[in-house]
Order: sequence, then structure tokens, then C-alpha cells
Amino acid sequence: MKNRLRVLRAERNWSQMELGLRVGVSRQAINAIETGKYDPSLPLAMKIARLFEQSVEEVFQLEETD
Amino acid sequence: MAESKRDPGAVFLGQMLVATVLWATTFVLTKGEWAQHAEGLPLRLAVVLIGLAGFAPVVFVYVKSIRIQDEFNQRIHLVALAIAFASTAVISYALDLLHQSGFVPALPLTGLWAVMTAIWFVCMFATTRFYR
Repeated sequence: MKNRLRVLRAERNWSQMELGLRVGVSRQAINAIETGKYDPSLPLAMKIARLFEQSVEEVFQLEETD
Repeated sequence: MAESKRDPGAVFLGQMLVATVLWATTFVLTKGEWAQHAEGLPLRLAVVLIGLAGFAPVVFVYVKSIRIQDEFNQRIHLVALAIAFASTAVISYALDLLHQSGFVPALPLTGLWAVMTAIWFVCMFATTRFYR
């Protein structure tokens, strides 16, 4: 699954740590999501999308291989 | 409330240190000369219960530390535990076969969890580095 987390975060000048604090996870979790090594749970994905005032589909997209 | 202001890592290490000291105390007690030669049902039962009670704080602190982590870190723990569990199963089975064939002497069962813990630590270290 790919996502626009890094772009959305950069637009707001937030660090990974700052974003993590806002959604209640660690910096490592944000890094793993951004690099595609970890797919967040639905509640976390919704929390992230709500924070950026976007829908989940606008932040996270399925890839061909998913 | 005061606990939330402290560094969670430091709180965990402090609690684990206290739990480990408690466990070590009961370990020394139950491996002592008096325990080895304990006679009578109540005393023998006391040795077993004291030994098990010493483990309870360690388990409590460990489970509590996992419960307060985020979903990503819980997943890392799950992967590390799964690898440690499977590896320990293979190692214990191999040792049993080696013992049966006369290659190694009978080994104490308590060594198994030490092996599992060591593998778990290595896996935690490796997965944490991978996701850093």
C-alpha cells in the first residue's frame, strides 16, 4: 500500500516525531508507514486522514500487488 | 498521574529492575540448601510457590510494557516472539534428539526460556534496526 504521508507531513513542516505525537504512535511507526514497511490499522489510518482533513483513500492507496 | 510525566522507557527499566531483583531473591531462596532438602508437603509446596511468585512481577511488568506500546511496536514484539518461539521449538527438539542418541547429557528445562529470551532479544534488536 502506498501513501502520501511524507508529502502531507512536509506541507505542514511536521517532523515524524510531531506527527506521531499527534496520532498517538511512535516516530518509528510513522517512518515505517512512510517507507511502506508497515500498513497501519484502520483506526490509525482514519486518525491520520482526519488529522490531514482528507479521506482515507486520499492518503492511502492500494497498489497493483496488494 | 505523576507516572505519565516520566520517561516511559525509564519507568519500564526501573520496574523491570525491581521485578528482576525480586525474582533473583526468590531464585536464590528456592535454589538454596534448605530448599533442596525441604521435607514435608507444606515446605516442598512453599518452595514451588515462592519460586513461581518471584516470576509474577517480571511477567506483569513485561505484559504491561507491551500493552502501553503503539500497534507498530506491538507488531515488532509479536514478530520477535513468533521467531523466538519457533526457534526454541526447533532447538529443544534437536537437543532432545541429540540426548536420545547419546550426544549430549540431559539439560535443565529452565535453560529453554533463557534460550527463548536470548533469541527474542536478538530479534527485537534486528527488527528495531530494520524499521529505524
